[in-house]
Amino acid sequence: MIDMQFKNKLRRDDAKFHVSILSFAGIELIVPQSEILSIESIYELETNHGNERHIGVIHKQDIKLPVYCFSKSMDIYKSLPEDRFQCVVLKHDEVMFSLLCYEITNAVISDIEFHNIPICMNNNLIPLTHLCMYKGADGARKLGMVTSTVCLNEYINKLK
Amino acid sequence: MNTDDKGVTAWLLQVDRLVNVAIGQFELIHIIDKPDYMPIPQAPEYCKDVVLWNSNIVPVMSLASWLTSEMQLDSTGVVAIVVYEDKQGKHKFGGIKLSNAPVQAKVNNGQQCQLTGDFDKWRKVSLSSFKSKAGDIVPIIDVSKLFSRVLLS
Repeated sequence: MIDMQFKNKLRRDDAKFHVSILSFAGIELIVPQSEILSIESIYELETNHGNERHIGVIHKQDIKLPVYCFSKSMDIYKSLPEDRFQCVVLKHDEVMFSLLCYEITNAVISDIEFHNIPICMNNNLIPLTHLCMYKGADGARKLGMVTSTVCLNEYINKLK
Repeated sequence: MNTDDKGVTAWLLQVDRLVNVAIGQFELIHIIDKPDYMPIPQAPEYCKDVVLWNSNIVPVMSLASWLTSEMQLDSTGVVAIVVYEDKQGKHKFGGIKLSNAPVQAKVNNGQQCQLTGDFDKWRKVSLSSFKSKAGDIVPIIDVSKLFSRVLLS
C-alpha cells in the first residue's frame, strides 16, 4: 500500500502532483515541492574541515545548515565536485538541511503512478520512499525515484 | 509444464560463465535485449537495478553477483522477464540477468541430483536440482522465493 499521507503531500489538487526534481551525478530524485524551502544558485559554502559527514555549512535564517553532497550511488562526498551549481534547502517540520545539486526543476505531473520498492531489494538502506512511473516532458514513460526530507535525513543519520 | 515420455520442458538460463539455472516453461515470459537499467542507490549489489517493462517496474537480479558477492560487468545485457505469484497470490514480474540467450531443455526424474559443494548456496532459492546432459548440476529456481526477501536475510 502506498502511504496516502505521502501522496497527499505531493498533491495540491485532485489530479496533479507538484514535485521538484533534484538532479546530480546522473540521477534524479523526486521530492514534494512543499518541502523545498529555497533554492540557492549563488551560495556561500563554509567548507568543513572536520570529521563531519557534511561538506560544509551555509547560513540560512541565522542558522548554520549542514550541506550534503551525494554521489550517483548516494554515498556522501567529502570534497566538492565541480558540477554542483545549485544548493537546495529541504525542510519538513524541524528537519532542515541542504543538498548540492547539478540542477533543480519544478514540475507538475498529472500522470504519475507510485510503486513500493521491490521487497527483494529493500534492505532498509535505500534512501527512497517509492519508485514511480510518470510521463516526461517528451511524453515518454519514465522511471523515477521518490524521496522526502525525512527519508533523506534518516539515511544521512544512518551513515553517521 | 508440458510433460511427455522424455520429461518436462524447462528453460535453462545461463547466469554466469559456468552456471545454468532452470525455471519452468511458463515462468519465462519475455527477453529484453540491452535494457535501460535504472540503478537504485544503496540497493544490494545482486539486485541494484530496475527496468521499466510493459508499465511495470521490474527488479533485476544478477545471480552472478549473488554467487560471488562481487560486482559483475553486464556481459551481454540480456534480461529474462519472469512471472511469479507473491504471498497474496498476485502476479509479479522479475528480471534475471543472463550471459546468453535462454534455451529450452527436457528434464526427467532420472536426472535429479543433490546440491553439493559450490552449489550449496542455491538451497535458499531452489526447488530441486538435476544433472544436465553435460553432467553439470542445474538448480531449479523457486522464482517467487528469489524475488522475496530471502536473499536479504
